Amino acid sequence: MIICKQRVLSLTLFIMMFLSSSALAVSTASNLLSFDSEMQQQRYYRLLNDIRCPKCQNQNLADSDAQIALDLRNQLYHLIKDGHDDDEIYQFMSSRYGNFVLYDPPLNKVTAILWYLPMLIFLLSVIIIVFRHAFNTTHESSS
Amino acid sequence: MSSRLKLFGPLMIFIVIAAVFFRLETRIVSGNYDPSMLPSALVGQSVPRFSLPALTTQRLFTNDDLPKQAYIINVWASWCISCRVEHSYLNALSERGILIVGLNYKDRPTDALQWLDRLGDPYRFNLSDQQGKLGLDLGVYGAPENYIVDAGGTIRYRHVGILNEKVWREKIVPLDIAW
Repeated sequence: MIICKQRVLSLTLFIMMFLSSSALAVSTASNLLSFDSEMQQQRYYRLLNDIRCPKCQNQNLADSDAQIALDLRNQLYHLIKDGHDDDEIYQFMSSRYGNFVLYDPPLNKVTAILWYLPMLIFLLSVIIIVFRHAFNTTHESSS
Repeated sequence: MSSRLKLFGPLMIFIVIAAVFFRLETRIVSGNYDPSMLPSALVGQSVPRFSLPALTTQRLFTNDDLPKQAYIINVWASWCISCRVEHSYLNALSERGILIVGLNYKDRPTDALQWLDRLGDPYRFNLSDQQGKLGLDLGVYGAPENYIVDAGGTIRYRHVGILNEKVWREKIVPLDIAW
């Protein structure tokens, strides 16, 4: 009976902790930033995940705790509030921090290798396989 | 290829990959290559428009106040430990007659002035960028950073990290700028 009481107590304590922490998270999120529309807010969160932090390089703006990520989150918020579209925002970020901060960089001289090398390897392997096959069959028919 | 030689294939592949990584590692250790360093998006462009107070006066400085000859924009702050390491080299550069404009980045002006009092002031003037606005336009993501600007006002090179004699010799001298 005593054990049971303790369990109930710890369970309620746990639930209370859980509830209070989630309530806190919601209140801070809505207190800090206000958007004109639901869509703006969704764009904000989407772009946070789409732009890389220049300092903590394997984190996006949403993840990173770096000071510069905080600044860029602020900047992003104001750009969205001022009515800039996604392309303008990407342009804003990459003109300052380079294409590196974009998770989906444009196709240019540097990134071309990413797109064309796999294709090239695939084509080469097809050619090699076809040639070897042709070589083997002619070899067999002549012998 | 004989089938016996083929057995060495995996070893060969391993040796090639190991050689590539070994070379990369030696370049990182010797300081010739830093994978976290970003190329500046502003190289070849002019300094972004700004209007900021100077550290010592309340007058707003703009692009018109920038030197008409080649100079360095040094991004620094009193909270930045590497800047402290760099500072004596900046003093030496300034004694050699090289113009340095300071961008005091996200710092408290009183702390910054105290720093200059104690460690020496190599700067022509200092812009006080408390919000990091010009820093953001320049693409600053950490201090210290140094932007080499030529007499025409074009940014020629950006060095992230401590500026020292080695960097000067290997990266900045080849730019062939008339100081």
